[in-house]
Amino acid sequence: MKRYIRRALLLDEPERHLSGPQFVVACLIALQAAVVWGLVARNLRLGLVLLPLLIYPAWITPRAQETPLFRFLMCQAEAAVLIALMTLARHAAGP
Amino acid sequence: MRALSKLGAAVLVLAIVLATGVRPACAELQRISTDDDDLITRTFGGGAHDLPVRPNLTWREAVAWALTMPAVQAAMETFAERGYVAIAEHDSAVISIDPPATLVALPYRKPDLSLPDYHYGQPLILIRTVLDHEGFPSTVVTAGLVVLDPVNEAVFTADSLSELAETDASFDVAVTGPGEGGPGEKRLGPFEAASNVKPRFYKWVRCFGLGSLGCLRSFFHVTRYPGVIIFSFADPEVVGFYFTLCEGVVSTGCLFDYLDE
Repeated sequence: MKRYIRRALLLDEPERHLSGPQFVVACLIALQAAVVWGLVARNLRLGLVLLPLLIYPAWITPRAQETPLFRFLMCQAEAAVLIALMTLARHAAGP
Repeated sequence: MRALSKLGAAVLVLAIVLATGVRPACAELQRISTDDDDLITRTFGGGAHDLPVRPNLTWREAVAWALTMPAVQAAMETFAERGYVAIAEHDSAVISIDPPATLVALPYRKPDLSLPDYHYGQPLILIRTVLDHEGFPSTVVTAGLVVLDPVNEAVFTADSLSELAETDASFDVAVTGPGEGGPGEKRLGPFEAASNVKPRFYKWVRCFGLGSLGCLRSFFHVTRYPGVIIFSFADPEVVGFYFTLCEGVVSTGCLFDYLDE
């Protein structure tokens, strides 16, 4: 299990995941997207719950390809789609 | 015996084929379906939240029962706070056999009521219990100030008049609770069975099922090269981890609504 987690997080292949400073910036961008889209959906908790789904794909991005603008756009797109789907799902569940 | 010509033989063969091959249409008797339940006179003995419904119910019994109902008492309290005065001698009820229902009307008067000329107004509490096909009672307690305009042949409530809309607004009183009944009740059942409220688990499963569509994202990896973005299939370990994480997040997100209820 431990080995599986290491492989899933690409811990043995440093070039395939973000560096520390890059990850911090990516986390802040993900937090911004989660809060903004959570407020758009009028459910901040839902936005914050989706935060791991924005952070993990950021982490497994090769560090050479990462830029703040790319991360910002990706986080907005992913958060918007996820929030929209979750909102739709909650409405489909009925009163 | 004269021999048949070729044409005559062909016609004879055709006639035999038609006569034996095609069955005559049978005249089917149409069964007229009847709903046996319609033949049963449904009755209900009354409960804390429902009026009795039965053919031999008198209007006095119906009125007396209505006055004991908590929802009616709540409406009467609201009317008392508004300064309405009950006209108890005009309390009345209607008992219907088809549909099986009981309707009680409790009229009031508002001493300082000022209305336009030729308008007449009366506060009223209406209580109606109707039985469905299964014999389950459904009760509505509604109250408001009814205004009669004989000149324009119109009847409306105070909600339509700007000067009375706030002070004399109509309202419904929520009727809750299990339908316990007295003698004469046809069927006792849980109250939830008659409502449209879905169980929380059902709603969570529906939310989870649809929300999981978002987890399809976990199968793909987005790679950025200068000038181009490539979507490719992610590594199996990444898919496994990301998908599990996604399902956990979605199930938690769907859970929030129903824990808060």
